[in-house]
Amino acid sequence: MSTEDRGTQDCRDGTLADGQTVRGLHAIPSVQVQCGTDVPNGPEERGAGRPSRPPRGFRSYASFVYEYMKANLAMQMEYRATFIGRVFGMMLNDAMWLSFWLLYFARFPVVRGWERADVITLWAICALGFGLCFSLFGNISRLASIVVRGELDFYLTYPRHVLLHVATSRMDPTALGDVAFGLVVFFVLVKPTVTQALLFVLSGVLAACIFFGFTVVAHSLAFVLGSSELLSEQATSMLIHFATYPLGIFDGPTKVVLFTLIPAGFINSIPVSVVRGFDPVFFAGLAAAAVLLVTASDRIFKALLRKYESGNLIQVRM
Amino acid sequence: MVDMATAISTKNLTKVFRTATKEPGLKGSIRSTFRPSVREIHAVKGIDLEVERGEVVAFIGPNGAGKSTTIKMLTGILYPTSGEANVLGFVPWRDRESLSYKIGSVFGQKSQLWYHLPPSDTFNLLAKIYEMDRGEYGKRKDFLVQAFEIGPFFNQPVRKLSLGQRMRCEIAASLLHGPEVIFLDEPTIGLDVVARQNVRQTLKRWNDEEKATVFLTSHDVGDIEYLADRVIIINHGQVVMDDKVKNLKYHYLNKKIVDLRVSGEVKLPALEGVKIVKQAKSGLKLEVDTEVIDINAAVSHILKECEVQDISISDRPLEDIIAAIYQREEVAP
Amino acid sequence: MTEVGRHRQGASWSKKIAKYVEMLRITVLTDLAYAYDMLSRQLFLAVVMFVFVKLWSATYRWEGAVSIGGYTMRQMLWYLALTESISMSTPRTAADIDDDVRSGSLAYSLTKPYKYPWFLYAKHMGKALVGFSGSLIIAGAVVWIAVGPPPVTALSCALGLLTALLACTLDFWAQVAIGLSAFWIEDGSPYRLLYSRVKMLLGGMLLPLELFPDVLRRVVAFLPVGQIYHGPVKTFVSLSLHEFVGTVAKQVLWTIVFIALAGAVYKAGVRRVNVHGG
Repeated sequence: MSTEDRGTQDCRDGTLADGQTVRGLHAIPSVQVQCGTDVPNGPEERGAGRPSRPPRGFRSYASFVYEYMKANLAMQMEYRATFIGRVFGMMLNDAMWLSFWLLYFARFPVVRGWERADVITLWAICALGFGLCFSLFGNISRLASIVVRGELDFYLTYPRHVLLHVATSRMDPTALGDVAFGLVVFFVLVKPTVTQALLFVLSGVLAACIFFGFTVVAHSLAFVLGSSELLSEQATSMLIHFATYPLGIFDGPTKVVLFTLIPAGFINSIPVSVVRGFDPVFFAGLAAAAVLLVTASDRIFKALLRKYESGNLIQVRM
Repeated sequence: MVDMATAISTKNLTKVFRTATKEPGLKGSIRSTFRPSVREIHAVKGIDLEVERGEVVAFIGPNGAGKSTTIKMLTGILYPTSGEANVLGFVPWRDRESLSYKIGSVFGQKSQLWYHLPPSDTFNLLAKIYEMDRGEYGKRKDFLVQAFEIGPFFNQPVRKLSLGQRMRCEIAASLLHGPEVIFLDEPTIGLDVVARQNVRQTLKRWNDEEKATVFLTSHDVGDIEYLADRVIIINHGQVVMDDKVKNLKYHYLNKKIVDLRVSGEVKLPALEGVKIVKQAKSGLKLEVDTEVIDINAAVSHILKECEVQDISISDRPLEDIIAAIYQREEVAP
Repeated sequence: MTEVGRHRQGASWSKKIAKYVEMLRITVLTDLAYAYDMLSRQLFLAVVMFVFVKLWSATYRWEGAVSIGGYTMRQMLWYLALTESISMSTPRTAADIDDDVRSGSLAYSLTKPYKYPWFLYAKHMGKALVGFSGSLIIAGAVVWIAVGPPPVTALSCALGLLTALLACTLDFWAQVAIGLSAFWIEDGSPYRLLYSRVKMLLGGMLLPLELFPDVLRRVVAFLPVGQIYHGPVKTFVSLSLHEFVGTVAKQVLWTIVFIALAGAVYKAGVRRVNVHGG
């Protein structure tokens, strides 16, 4: 996970030419091929084969997402060295930030009631949540540019939930590094009890929902504002950045922002309110926030889709 | 000592690339680490060239024929595996830096203009790179701006220029330091018909005045016809033809294409040296081999046999000729 | 024509240097054409600094200390504003070189009468200059509002600027060595990432070296990574002439080492252009 733009720079924005062919829309046709060869009835075919009853059931969608996962992963494996390099690269990036905190706590054992184990747990949850979100739905970080460039056309021609389809059609390989980092760090450094471990995984999933919902909403601004790529990306970066610092260091007004506009507060109070001492009220609030954000993001995306202007942008390619 | 009239000469110029081939999978990469299997690619197989000063030579061939490898050796980018080359009295790979002051190049779609700045800024930078005097630079710039008609947009950011305008700036930029030999790699690629014609005309106008040696590669036969005196065709790393453009046409233009529009039924008896290329309801396309039958005889014969409404006689396009040369080589390498 | 050519080959040193100066100038111009874009991209830096302000005011208050590791809170936050600005504006030259090697642009640059590494150096410094100024405006504004003006003197600024230029040079040559590894390596991005992260963490970007455990601090203080962030920034906010001289000496020493290394890699790499083809 990278909390700042510069954290993503080297790893994520494709400094490598072959890295870029792994990702992006160009990859889509081969994804279809992969689906077709792996499973005779790929998700698309299944949908098209029964026009009388469009597949809307949970199982249908679960298998749809699963097939995309497999295809995405298979594609990453085409460039194995690059893929492994990226996964380890992200783990290294996360490790750097964690090391900062370890150095910090070597000097200051407690800050505002937060201890070393709390910050390690926070980083583990953020990494797990961020990693789950962007390894499953890696394309949402490009949503704004997809909208602006009119690349949504491709997805609109399929009989599937548009947002889910866009989201799943790309995997961010570095996000798998985050998942691995989160799990390793938590289980090795914190040595949790079974209850803590369960709560940890559950919070990771809820954090993923918050990352997902917020990112989708931020990127949906592109429907309204036009080229909002930069703003949308920075919004997500901001959420991540705030989420990785102890809630305790922020004052009242900031906290209000962190529980409303930039909902990082739900994530960075997890270590203290969920894993250390279970607070059912906070946990219910967290779950409600996660569900609400995901639902809202879906509604907002769908509502703004009406404003979609397709590919009317003249592209300058140099 | 090199003859001062010669701009480029090569003798038996050869380049072999050795690439380690990696087998797929982990096992393969471990194996190839210890026992790499090397594949040899003979890109250029003993080329002899002789280009005189002031000549405009089209250097053509299908993709992968060894064109760009040859140019890279002539500009000092690549060391040859064996053979000799001499460009303006320099051995390119040995005297690369000295040579670089005297040659110019427009390489494919590699732009040397700064995208966000006007061409004038790139020109200033190039003047510094080539260590030109202020006065010399000013004169040269004025000449090129006029010759290539780039004045109107010389101070606009490159990103705002059309592709044709950009290419004219690109070529002018590569001529700034007054190179004696210029390598033009696909100068009209990606341009529309009008822009292409425009670039050709400016190039021609410039060279009529400057008389520089031009080494041109292009897939566009129009460029070759319009600009080159001589054409060298290369395929599979070897020169398969080296002749004046005029001669090329002369030798290969012994076939004429006759297009006919006829009314009524077409019943053309077999005639030696006349081949039907295409036949439609009221149209007929014939190829006449003028070495077998005189064009006059052929036409009068046709006019006698058919009720002709319209007739046109044309040369075989150069494009076809070149394709035929490539293909012949393809069959018997 | 030949006369002119010969004259050019033996041109004076001033002309040889002028081409690199022009390169620097033109890089600055290009980056300024992007200024608006760049500033909005770096607005995120304001968030980073805001969080730092919160973290360190909480820390100083919780510790009840006026000075931590020899830094007052004002010095600490300006230290971080400067290191963050350096970090945000460090040109990604290693990645550019990687690109040039793979796309063949490096090969084409061989037909021009300039030295590729020095050309890149001019570009690197130009980019760093514009980027750093932009970053510092944003990071500095946040910190200024929070803790007041920077704790600098005219002397510490002058000397700080000198070490900053040396630091940038040192970083450049290290990046050249890493970037040129593209001649041999399939994917260079993990190595670039490793370098940048080690530099950030051990170089004292997030935490001054004075707060490191003792042994680590001593080791890092000698290593090249210790000279890129900590060296110059310490000179700015808390000048000690003794430390300054040490920093400069170490910067020069490591720069020489990396120039030698990069030179060796470049020579071997350019020879490899012949093997690769293009």
